[in-house]
Amino acid sequence: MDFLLTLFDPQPRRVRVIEGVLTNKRTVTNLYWGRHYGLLTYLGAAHWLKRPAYDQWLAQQVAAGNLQLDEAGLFARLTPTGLARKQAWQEDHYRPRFGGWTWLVNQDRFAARFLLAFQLVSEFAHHQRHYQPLSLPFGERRRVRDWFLAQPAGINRAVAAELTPILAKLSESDERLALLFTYRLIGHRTAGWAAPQAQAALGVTAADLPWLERDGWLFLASRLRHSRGPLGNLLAPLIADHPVAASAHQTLAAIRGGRPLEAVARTRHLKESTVREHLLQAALLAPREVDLARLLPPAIEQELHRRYPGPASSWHFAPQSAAAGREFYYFRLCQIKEENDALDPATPGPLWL
Amino acid sequence: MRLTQLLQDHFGFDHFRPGQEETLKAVLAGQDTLAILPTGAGKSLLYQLPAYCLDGVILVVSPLIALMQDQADRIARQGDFRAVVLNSAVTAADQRAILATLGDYHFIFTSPETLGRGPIIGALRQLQISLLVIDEAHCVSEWGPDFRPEYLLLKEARAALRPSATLMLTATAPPRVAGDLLEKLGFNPSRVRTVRRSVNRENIFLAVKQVETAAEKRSYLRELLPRLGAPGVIYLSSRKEADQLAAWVSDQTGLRAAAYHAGLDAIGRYRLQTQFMHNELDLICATSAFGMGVDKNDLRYVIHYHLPASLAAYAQELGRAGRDGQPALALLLYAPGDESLPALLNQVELPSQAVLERFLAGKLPLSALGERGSVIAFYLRHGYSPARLPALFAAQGKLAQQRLAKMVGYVKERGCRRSYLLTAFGEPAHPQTPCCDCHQPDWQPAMLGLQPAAAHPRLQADWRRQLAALLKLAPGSGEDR
Repeated sequence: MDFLLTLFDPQPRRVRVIEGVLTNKRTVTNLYWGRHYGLLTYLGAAHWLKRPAYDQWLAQQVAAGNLQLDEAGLFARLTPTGLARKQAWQEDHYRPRFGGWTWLVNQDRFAARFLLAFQLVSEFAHHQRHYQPLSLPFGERRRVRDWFLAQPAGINRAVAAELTPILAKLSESDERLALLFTYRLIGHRTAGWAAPQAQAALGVTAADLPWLERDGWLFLASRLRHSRGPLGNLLAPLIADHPVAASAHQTLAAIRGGRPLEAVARTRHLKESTVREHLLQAALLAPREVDLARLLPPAIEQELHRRYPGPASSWHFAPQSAAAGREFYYFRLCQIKEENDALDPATPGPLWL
Repeated sequence: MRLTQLLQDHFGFDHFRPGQEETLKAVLAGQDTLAILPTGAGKSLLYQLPAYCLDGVILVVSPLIALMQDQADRIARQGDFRAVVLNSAVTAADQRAILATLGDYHFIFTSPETLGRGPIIGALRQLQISLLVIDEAHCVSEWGPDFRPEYLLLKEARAALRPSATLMLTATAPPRVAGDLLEKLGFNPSRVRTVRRSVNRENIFLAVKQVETAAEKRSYLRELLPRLGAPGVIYLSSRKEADQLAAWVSDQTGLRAAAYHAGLDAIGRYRLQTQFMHNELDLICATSAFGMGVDKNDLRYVIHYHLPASLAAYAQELGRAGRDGQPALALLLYAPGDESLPALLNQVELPSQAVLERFLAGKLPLSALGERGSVIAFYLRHGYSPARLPALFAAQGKLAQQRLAKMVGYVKERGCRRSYLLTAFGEPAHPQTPCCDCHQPDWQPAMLGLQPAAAHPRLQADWRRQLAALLKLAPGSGEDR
């Protein structure tokens, strides 16, 4: 878990936001601060992380003098020792590249389906009938089997034709990614490299492997989403077509169609607060698709800037009316707008569609 | 068709292992059978081979949900029969789909809990069950170390399913446990054929290494492991320690080590099992989850890094070494105080009577019953009153402490470990050479016939070549080779 230290900074950061980002808890607070810290590429990257383990790790870092927690335990900052450790880690270890695609897939499910499909094709190519297929849940096995039975005889060539350009591109970015991906495939007479083999062959540590592997899957998903080959057909249903969740995306589409927020809430049978949350999520995850100038009337924006001095990320919300929910919506929109304006349009990450 | 012919044709062996043929003949004659065969005797063959002779379904009840799929997969790998798993890990949608097509399967693997549920037993009753297999049958006995109360439900399930024959399998059942399990499953012992073979494994050298600290265990392993050959298994009592030791061994010795435990996902488990089977790993650092999923004959050693809770558990795990009959080693590492962890695990803190009553009345969730909540809940739901539980758990706790004391006795034994082990299982001792470290305190791996592990050349990796090989294409050409 030492890589966790790289998510902290000498400036105080919210410990629950970092945890929420890693475990894919997409609250507006987590998304806003996660983006502010530049950590949204880690969204869901440690979905297995449990609260006690995270808290124990925090306590260890504090005891080791790497992190300093505030009194309430809400914010943590790197000490000079911690900063040195972070920098040393970044120099010695693999730095993830394709986290911007983190929203595309549930990596575990995507990888499992891909691996079983590839195994069937590989064994078929070798005319092998007696082998142990990868153990997946019954429904997944059936889906892959049905896909496989519908393929023509030259499926091995079609799969090679679909994968080779993707792996060539992956290899250009870092050859180790293509090597790890290919040698971890399960197929005829191989179950892929075990972790120690992969570490030795690639010269990386056990802590780096999951990040290399994640980058491989994310890159593959980003390419297969546009593929019309057999693997693209099988895996497309597992690839999200938008970083914003489906329901929030529908809300966004309705608003972009010109309908007022209240009307969208009525027709979609949602609370107005939910619609507002959807819009905030969309403004954070897909800023180019949200017309903030329309959602945030200039008068309200000016009033907020008058009431709260300084940069928006330093503001502390202080409700002035009984409609605190609505007030907070504009408050957060204004903060997001300021950060969106600062995004460099010349270097759009995949998250910023 | 002769049994030996089936064995050769479908399993590739020329001879049965001790106890196999006798058990198969009894089962195929429709006789209820209890097979008490040591680990490594090839128990899965006892229900796989009858599929070639019997019509109807072979229903296998097993306690280990995590490894059930492995058993079914092994049958799939054989390629002749369809096998399916029904347990609590199967989603509701998948379960409905399976139940709708249950008649398509020759093998059904399930757990006692799942078998106890109405829709499952209802669907199974529509089928002809030619053989009911109760794996790890000793789990039904309260005298045994692995007692699982859900196994008590099997008596009723068997009565409902009316299988043509029942085969009970276990590696460790002293006479008292054997009698108890037959009674609990509703058999008349005089009508059950019992096939028993000795727990003694003559080709396994038994040794204990007493050290002062955990650090000493590691430095001893660093020196020993490269001389032991491969493959081997080191058992540990926690997932975390298995992970840590595997990383440490890889780092310190250059051996290809990996950790195996129930925390691995299905793909990770598949990879490790296959790699281990193909000798692409030198050793596995495992928790007790390792075993049933791996049918490997050539393990040269089984090392216990922590103290097992009972001799029965130890005998079962060490028996995974040397199934091929070649020299092998069973080594136990012991540091003073090692018994405190199993002793702690033996203690069950029962909630108060008031909590038990409130749980029974549906006013408290299962979590209120603590770590062993599911066991306590089982008793409460099956007619045990809250007032009876303290005495029941106290008796079981006392038995567990007695079993642990026997295990510690093995560590402290000065005369002969093999005699100690056999005596504990009610068997006579036979002198043999080599035997154990009591007779050969200066033993060395080479003296036992164990050879150092071979070095492995580093691979020149090429992703295009690997992809082409997997898909049986010439690299770059896209043509069949």
